[in-house]
Formats: sequence, C-alpha cells, structure tokens
Amino acid sequence: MIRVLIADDFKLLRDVIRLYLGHAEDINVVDEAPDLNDALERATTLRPDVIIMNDYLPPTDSAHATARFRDQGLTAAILVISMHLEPNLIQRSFLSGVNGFMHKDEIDDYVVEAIRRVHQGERYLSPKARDAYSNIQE
Amino acid sequence: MRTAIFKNRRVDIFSQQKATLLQATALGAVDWVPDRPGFLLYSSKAYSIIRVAIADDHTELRLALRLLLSISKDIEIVCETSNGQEAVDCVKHLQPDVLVMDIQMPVLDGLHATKQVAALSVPTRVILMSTYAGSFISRQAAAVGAHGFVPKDNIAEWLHQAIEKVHQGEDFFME
Repeated sequence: MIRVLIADDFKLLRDVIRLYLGHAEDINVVDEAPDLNDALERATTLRPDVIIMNDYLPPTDSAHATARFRDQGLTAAILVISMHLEPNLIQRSFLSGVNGFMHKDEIDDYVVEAIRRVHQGERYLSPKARDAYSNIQE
Repeated sequence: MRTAIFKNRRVDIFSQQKATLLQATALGAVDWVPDRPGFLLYSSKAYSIIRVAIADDHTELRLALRLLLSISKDIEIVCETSNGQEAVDCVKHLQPDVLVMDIQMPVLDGLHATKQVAALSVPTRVILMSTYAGSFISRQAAAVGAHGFVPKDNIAEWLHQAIEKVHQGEDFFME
C-alpha cells in the first residue's frame, strides 16, 4: 500500500485529489495539510511514502519546502503539482530533492501513475511538465 | 477505458479493437482523453449527459471544478467563464442544462447574473456557490431565481448531487 500525504492550501483541490486516489486500490491517503509547518509535522508523525505538494506551500515554494523535508530526514517521494510549471522552479525543485512534477490539470489522467512511479524511485515528469522543463534544458 | 469528446457529448469507449477508434472518429469524435487503454464505442449514456457551465473568477477553482465534474461520466462541461457577464453570454449561446456560478465575481456578480438568466427564455437552471454559508445567503440565492446553493466548503461532497437534483427539476439549497 502506498501511503500518501496531500499538502496544498486549497481544500477543494485536496478533496478532488482524494476522490481520484480513492479509485486506486494500492494507494491510501493518510492525511492532508494546508501549509508547510503542518505538512512537516504530519509527515514526521505519519511517515508517508509519497507527498503530493503544491508548488507554493505557504509560506514558501516547493524547492524550499522540499529542502526543509530533506533537512528533517524525511525520505518520502515528493510529487509537485503546479498551475504554472515555471521551468526555473521545476529545476530548483529537482535540485532540492523533488521526485516528480506535473500540471494540476493533468491530475485526472496522470496522478495515480505519477504516484506509483515516484514511489518506485523513478523521476516523473508529466507530458506538460516535460514540455515546460525541456525549455530550460535547451 | 477512453473517453471520446464529441461535439456535444462525451462517450466512454471500452474495447481492445483499434477499428472502433476509427469508427468513433467517423461518427464525429473530435478529441480523446489521452492515456486510457482500451477502446470500444459505447454511446447509450450519451443521451443522459447533463451539460454544465462553470463561472468563477478564480482559475484554480475552475480547474478544481472541472476535475471534480469530470469524475462523473454523466456531466459534460460546455463552457467556463470568469465573470457573470460571460456566464450570461454562455447561457444565451449554448443553453447549458445547469450553470454553476460563484456569487462574488467581477463585472457582473452571480446574483445579478442569475436574475438575467432567469429572465431569458432558456431551460438553464442556476446553482450558486459562495465562500460564505448560512441561511441568509442561501435565501438570497433563491430570491434571485437560482435553483440551488452550495457553500464552497461543501462542493466536493455535494455538487454532483446538487447538479443531478436541479437538472431533474428539484431545488437544492444548503445553508
């Protein structure tokens, strides 16, 4: 069973992600958090396998937030969901230890696959994230 | 399963045969939801599709609503708008079955837009949403001619049911 924590400040989106993950038999949402401090606290207690994180987790972005998780010895795979797919943030996030990146409007088609892939230790870029990220690498 | 997007409806596809994809294309499929394995034309549901319009000025909320509603195979989103005026224009042109609209919006707010929709001779019924909850705002929604009201905190749990009820001709007011 893949244990997942959802960290996003937008409650409706957390609810919607739960609905999409409810169909996957190998995934269990263990908790959710609206900001970085809450997410750190819950992740420290619950030790999820995967954290789905908004690219802005108040009060900071996914790169800084991930650095905080890694500083605290949290090894959960981190999958970032984003509205904007800013290439610079994708790059900084990967350097901080993020494992996957995807656009929020791809959640319906790809979130389950993305969670399974990052949980297996792979780096995951959704089709839109791959497009955005390739811009910075060229 | 794949979902074919036809001009006016969504159709689920179950089969292993590629020929049916071509068949669906011949029947007018204009787009596909990617990465869902298996194909077969299955159109019996197409006639009960509820055509829904969304109006909210927050891009991310519209996205969340789109994701939420696309879980239901009986709902097709026909337009997304970011203020009340655009929502009224959408209703005039596309006559959705249900318009799901925020109350607090720029240009024309949801209450005024609902009055305009109610004055049109179209079958569209309105469900209003708000960050605020309570009997006062729920009664305000009813007073301008909406058929439903759902506080934003309750959307994930109740919006599907609200849309179905309102589409069937019933009212759905939460407080």
